Amino acid sequence: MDMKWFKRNAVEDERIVNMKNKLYKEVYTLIMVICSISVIIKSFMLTTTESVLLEMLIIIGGSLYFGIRSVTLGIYSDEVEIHDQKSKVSFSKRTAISGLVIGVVLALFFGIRSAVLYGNGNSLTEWKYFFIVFLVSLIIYLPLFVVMNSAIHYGANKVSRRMSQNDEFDS
Amino acid sequence: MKNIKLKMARVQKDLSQEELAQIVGVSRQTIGLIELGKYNPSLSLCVAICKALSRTLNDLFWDED
Repeated sequence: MDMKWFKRNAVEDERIVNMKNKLYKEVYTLIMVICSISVIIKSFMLTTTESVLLEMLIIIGGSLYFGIRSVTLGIYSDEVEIHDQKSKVSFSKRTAISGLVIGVVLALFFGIRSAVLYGNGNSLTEWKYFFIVFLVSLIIYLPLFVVMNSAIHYGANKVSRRMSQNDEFDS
Repeated sequence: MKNIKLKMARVQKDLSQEELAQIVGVSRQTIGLIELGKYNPSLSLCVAICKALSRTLNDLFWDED
C-alpha cells in the first residue's frame, strides 16, 4: 500500500530539471556580476562604506551559503580529490595563490580608489596616495588572504572529507 | 550521435514521440533530443524508456563500435 506513494512520479523530466538548474547557475552568476559592478562604481563615486553594504551582504551571504552547503554535502573534498588527480598544482597550493592574487588586486583597488577620490586632480598627490595606500593594503591584505584562504581550505576540506565518508554504505 | 535504435524500437511499437513521452512521463522534446543524441539521459530515464518499449538497455543504449 505504502509503495504506491513512492512509485508515483518515479520519473520526472530530468532534462527540464537540469536546464532549470543551469539557468539558476546563470542567474547566480548574473547577480554576483551586477553586485560586483555596483560595488566598484559606488566605491569610486562615494566615500562612505555604508553605500555598498547591501551588495556586500548579497555577495558574501551567497558565497558563505555555497561554501557551507558544499562542505556539509561533502562535495568540497570530492572536488579537491578530482582536482588533485588531474592537475600538477595541488588544490591547496592553488588556494594560496588565489589568496595572493586577491590580496594584490584588493591593494591595487584601494590604491586607485584613494588616488581618484582624494588626489584632487594633482598627479603627484595621486601617485603619492596610490603608493601609500597600495603598500599599506598589500602589507595587510596579502598575508591575510593567503593565510585565511589556506586555513579555510584546510578546515573545509577536513570537515567535508568527514561528511563525504559518512556516505560509504558498502564498506 | 543519433540514437537510431531508440527511434526504430519506438516506430516498431507504433508509438509517436508524444505517446512514448506520455508513457514515460517526460516531455516530447526530451524524447526527441534523446533520439537526436542531443541530450544524455540518466540511467533511470533510460530504464523507464526501455520498459515502455519492452526492450533492454543493451538493445537501445549500447553502442558497439
